[in-house]
Amino acid sequence: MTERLTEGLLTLLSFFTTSLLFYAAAGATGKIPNIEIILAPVIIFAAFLITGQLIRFFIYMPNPYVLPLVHMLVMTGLSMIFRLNPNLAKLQFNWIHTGLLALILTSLAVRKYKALSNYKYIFGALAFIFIFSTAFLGVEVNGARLWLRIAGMSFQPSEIGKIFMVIFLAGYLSERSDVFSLGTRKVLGIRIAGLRHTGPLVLMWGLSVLLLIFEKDLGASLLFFAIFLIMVYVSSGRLTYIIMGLILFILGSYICYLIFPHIQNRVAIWINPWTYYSGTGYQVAQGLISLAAGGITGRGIGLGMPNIIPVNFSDFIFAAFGEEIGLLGLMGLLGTYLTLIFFILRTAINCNDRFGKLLCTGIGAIISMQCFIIIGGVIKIIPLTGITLPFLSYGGSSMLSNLIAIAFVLSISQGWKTGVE
Amino acid sequence: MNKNIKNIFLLTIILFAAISMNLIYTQLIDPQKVLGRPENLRYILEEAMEPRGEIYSKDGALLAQSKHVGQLYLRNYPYGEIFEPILGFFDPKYGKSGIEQALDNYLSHKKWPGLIGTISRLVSMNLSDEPNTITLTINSRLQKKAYELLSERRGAVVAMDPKTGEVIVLVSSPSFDPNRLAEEWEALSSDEGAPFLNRATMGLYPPGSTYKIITLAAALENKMGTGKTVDCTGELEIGGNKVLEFEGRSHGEVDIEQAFTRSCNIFFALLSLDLGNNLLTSYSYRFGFDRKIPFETPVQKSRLGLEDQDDEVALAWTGIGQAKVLVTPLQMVLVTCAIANDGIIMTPHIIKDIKSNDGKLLQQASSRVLFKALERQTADKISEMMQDVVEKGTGKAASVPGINVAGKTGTAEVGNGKNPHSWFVGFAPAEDPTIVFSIIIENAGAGGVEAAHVFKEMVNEYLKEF
Repeated sequence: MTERLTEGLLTLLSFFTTSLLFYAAAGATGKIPNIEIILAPVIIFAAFLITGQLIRFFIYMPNPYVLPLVHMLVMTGLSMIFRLNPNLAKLQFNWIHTGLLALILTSLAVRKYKALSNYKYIFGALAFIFIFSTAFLGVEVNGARLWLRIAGMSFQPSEIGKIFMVIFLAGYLSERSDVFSLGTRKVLGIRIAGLRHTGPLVLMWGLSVLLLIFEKDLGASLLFFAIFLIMVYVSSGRLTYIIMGLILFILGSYICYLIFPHIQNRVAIWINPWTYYSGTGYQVAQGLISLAAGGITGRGIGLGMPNIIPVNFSDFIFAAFGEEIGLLGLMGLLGTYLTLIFFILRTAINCNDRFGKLLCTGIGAIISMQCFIIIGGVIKIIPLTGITLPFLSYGGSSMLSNLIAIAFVLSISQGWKTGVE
Repeated sequence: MNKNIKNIFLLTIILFAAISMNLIYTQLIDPQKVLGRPENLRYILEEAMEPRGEIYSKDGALLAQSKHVGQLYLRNYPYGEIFEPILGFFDPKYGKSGIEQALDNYLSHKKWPGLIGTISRLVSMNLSDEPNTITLTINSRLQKKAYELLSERRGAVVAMDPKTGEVIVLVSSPSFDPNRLAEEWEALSSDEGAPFLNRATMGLYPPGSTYKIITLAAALENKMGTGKTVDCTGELEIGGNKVLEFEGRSHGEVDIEQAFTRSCNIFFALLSLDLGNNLLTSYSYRFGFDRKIPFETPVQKSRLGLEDQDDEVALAWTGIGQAKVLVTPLQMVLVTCAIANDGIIMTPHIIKDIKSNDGKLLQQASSRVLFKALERQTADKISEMMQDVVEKGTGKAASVPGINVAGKTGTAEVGNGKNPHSWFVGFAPAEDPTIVFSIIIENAGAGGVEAAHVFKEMVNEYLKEF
């Protein structure tokens, strides 16, 4: 079977299963389905098919498993958003197509992704600007400064900022890893890089803490620092950095916890959401009830009551899924994510150059960490931090940047079969 | 470097495993821990988000409707406590009972979500989401009258059409206003009058002399007791135990007809000894004792309680409706229906029909035979004797001018020095019965006078309808 056929058939399989979900969600809205609703899954299917084939015809031969998996996640998310709020689903539908267009354009632009590393400092600067722009210009939504308002549209610049950061780090670490991984001193039997080399680590830590202070955004701060640590670890192979980084992060978080009341509040809710039920704990409490109400098989699409949870279409979409598709459905969802992360990291392994490897790993890490941070927050493993669930949550910035990230993965995966593990 | 990337995948697996463990706990092992919390609004919202179907009486009175209050639909019952024992209540917090519970499938707003909903809407099948309308067989005017006649005394009134099995009246007292359930819940729960108990279908009482109808039926069908005479001295000793007449009365020399009309305990105690355990048990069974009575709402089984084959004392007492025999007022209406309807008991029912939102008939009650209890001749004979009860026996208080009625009084001793319960079962018109009553008033005194009075008033009210 050719790869083209494989990709097409897998997308078709995903189309069949997810359109059933989508039409079930349509039933839940109680509206008589119009032609738009009936055609929506077909249009998205066609868009994914065309995207994949266009890339194959004109650009390169990417890994055929990534796009069908993304299609599956995107359609699953769209179905739930439709069931929760049909108006938002319409916007999300548009964002999916905008995102796919961005994916194609990015693929065209970065045919030779290696060239990106030449501009790493530009990307570094862009990442800094995008991530910190909201600290000075942003508007506060749900207690965090994450949004920029441009021409009437809200835009979350840190979503695209995280991609730029990964490009910068991949470029920086692919050149400097030798120095970076060379321990110059031994302290208590542990080899530690000199101050000059630990400098970037401390700088990154400082930036993360700044993010926490200025934007009150625990989630982004945790995400950026985790991605940084993962990339440094992959590049250097030293667990010491991760351990040092974790200690620094815990230290920084603890200090912030002591200083900032909103972080104390988050932790208090995490420990016991029920005591804060009438106020800030309401969302977490209702999310937990939603999950419990779902049980093993779920209530069925449209039969649960996830509408009780505030912002159910974004940060808490996982809880909404938990109620309606149950434990088995969530396991399937986690399995889909895990498979996608597997193929992304496999692409990194098969890639022959350091920059590609690091870039791809960084993108895999973004998806992996975002999943853990938001799901972990919803199910109360860790304190809740506002962050989107990649491809599933409602949101244009998130959809756009995640699909652009996929463009990089596809680009790096060209000739994926030639790489030997 | 590849090893490091693999380790990142390993890290992902570990993190996902942690999530899965937590989900397995929350969703599979102990979901109740969270669901049982008062913060769980699901149970309330699920019930009160949509309006429920309306309930009407046979004569067209609106008995239950949903009213929009804030964001929720709350139930309103125009007749309050009068219909509560039948309708029950529907409350987001306190749940459902009565018809509201039994016919919830029809009354609640059905959902057709999911694929079935999409597809059926697509091919524009009329898949109505609207709840159904239910019409009861109850007559609201008679129901109201019966409730008023009990005037807050504890007891029950059941009336049934013997030919169709339609329940016309089903009153239980004390009752409560379901519109004020939330305010009164605490007081109602601790009320020793048990207002939540539907006495008509769930209350178990000793039948007293009304049970003699069954003893009599068993004797007549087995050619026993006719020609038998007993010299009633007011007391009878059986196995060292005494059977007494009420208030120290004595009836002198009586035959079976006199014994029935004057409700002689000693004659019927001796008669049941003649009949024996087996005959009394099998005749009680024919009338529905120790059997499940099909009905829309739960019905307590009436029981004879004759366990010991050789216990003559128990047998004698059972034959006059004391000892361990316990009946529901509904059971006694069925017994009386057999007499009024040539020995045949029709299946009791309270739902007349169920209509869809657009008036289409979905279900209609049909008249079905429940038990064939007696031969026609036996029933006719007992019917005549019951007319005598009202005409010249213990049931004079029940006589209605201008119409022949039949009945039987009962005094159910309850012990503990309390006043006995007052029973009356009867039907009208005697020649061609169209309504059968079973009435009990707790602790209202001997002789069934109070209950007979209610019967009389009810028949008067009923006749106004013609």
